[in-house]
Amino acid sequence: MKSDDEIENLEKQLESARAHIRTPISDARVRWLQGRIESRLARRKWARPALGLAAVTCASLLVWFLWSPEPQPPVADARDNTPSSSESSRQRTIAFVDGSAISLDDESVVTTLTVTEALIEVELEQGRANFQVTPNPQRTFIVHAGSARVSVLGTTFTMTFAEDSLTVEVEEGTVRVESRESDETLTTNQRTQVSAAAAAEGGETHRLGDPEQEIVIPPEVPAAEVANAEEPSAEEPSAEEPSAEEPPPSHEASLEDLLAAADSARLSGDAQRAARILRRGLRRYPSDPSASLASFTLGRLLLGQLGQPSAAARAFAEARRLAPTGALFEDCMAREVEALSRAGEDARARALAEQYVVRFPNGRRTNLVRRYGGLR
Amino acid sequence: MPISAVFSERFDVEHPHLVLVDPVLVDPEHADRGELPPYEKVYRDYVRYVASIGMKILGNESEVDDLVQDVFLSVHRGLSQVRDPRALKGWLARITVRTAQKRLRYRRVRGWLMGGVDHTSAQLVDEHASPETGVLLRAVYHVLDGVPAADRSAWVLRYIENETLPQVAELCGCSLATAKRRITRTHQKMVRELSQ
Repeated sequence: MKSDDEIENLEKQLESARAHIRTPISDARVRWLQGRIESRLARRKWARPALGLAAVTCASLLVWFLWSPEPQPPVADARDNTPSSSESSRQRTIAFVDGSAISLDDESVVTTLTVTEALIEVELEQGRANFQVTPNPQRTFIVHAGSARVSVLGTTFTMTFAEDSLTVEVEEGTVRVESRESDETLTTNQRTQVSAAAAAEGGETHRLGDPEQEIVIPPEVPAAEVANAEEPSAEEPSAEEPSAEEPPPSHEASLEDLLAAADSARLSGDAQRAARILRRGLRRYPSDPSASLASFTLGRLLLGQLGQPSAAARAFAEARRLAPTGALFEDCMAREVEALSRAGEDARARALAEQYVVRFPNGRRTNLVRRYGGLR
Repeated sequence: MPISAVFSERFDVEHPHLVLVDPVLVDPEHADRGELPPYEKVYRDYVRYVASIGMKILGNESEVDDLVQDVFLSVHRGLSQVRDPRALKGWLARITVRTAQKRLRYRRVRGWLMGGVDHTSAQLVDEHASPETGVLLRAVYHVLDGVPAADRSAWVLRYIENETLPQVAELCGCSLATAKRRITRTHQKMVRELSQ
């Protein structure tokens, strides 16, 4: 049962938020709709004498309605509810409560993904945007553009994203730009241009999940180093020898300890060892509240660093099974779609993607799921 | 304060009959003359009101056009049968709510048949909203997508359109107890999921 304070807090937020729901109607749209209604009224008068064919007509109309595109309103309505829409290059600003701001051109599209005390995460879907980020060591500001990611702690910079190419120009401060081809840090007056195309099969998109579970993925292990890595069967007991740096396989080491050890291994570049530790933790503590997180982390290692998409799909599926109502469920489902697709299991990927879009119509990972699930 | 106490505080137990003559539901311009306006005037005066309610219930701009057309086709058909011009706005609102509920039910069936559901987030929030507000509203409609159409409409009318409980019941065409139950059910789910 949620506290009364939480209920009251939510209701206060709703009270101020509800004024910002768009009312999508302009004078031009009103006239257009009136024309449409009059057309339908006129058609109705002539339809009465044809009732004898109604059964066939209804069946045909149902198919047509399901498959036909929606009638388009006047093009001028595309920005009707925005002020100064007649200006050719109008700037818009997205302002955050900490003073950070994003200035957009008319054609730019930015979506806010996450806003918490520790993280602001947005996606630049297209166009040019200028970011002024208030310095705050407690809060990370991340911008995604295609498969690239720009993370900052306090700076002013501009990003332009078009046709899978991303340009980042830093006016002041420091930003880190990660893409499939590079990982570089830019300072004042520096500039870079990278490819931000969606990852091809075997590639890695660096995306953060829930901020509570933030995982910094190190650069990919070269393919040659993992080419001979076998996908251990989930049923086979592990034959690995624990190294001196791993927690001893004693009953004192909790799953939390093993997760920390796995993180340490991963950050030091030893993805294989990290995976071994996570598997041991899952075998030992299958019912632990953190087991879902462990399985999710294992899945990301298998998919990203170790090039084992089939095993990764199994890990993500297990993570979902362990916590069907948990905070990671949506991310697990999306990653499983990606893993299945990369493993060549297109039919299963599509089926799962269809489930995702129904369950999460406004999902954070919809673009990823549609891409890997073949729903575009 | 528990949810039940919040509802008790807002429920106007003293004047339930005022639902029909509540200023929100009464059009004073025509009430004074006791006459029904022509259809064209009804359209011009209320099309934005219908679109606004429709948008709030559906959460999807691309469906508002169809909803407005369906509502005013019904209005054209039934306007001559409205006896009391003072109740015109309420009558329009009821048609809008009913039509929106039908579209929500159809949306759910279509989602299962076609394997895809319309998104609401991109068009829902105006450009003056803060990013925090945008995230909240998208999360709210994400929760609403998982509740039945009748529950969704009742909750939206209560917490987004800010209608009183008797007005919600009137607009949804149900009893006060049913309206309260639908709102409570949805609100509990909303609090539970948004507080995670």
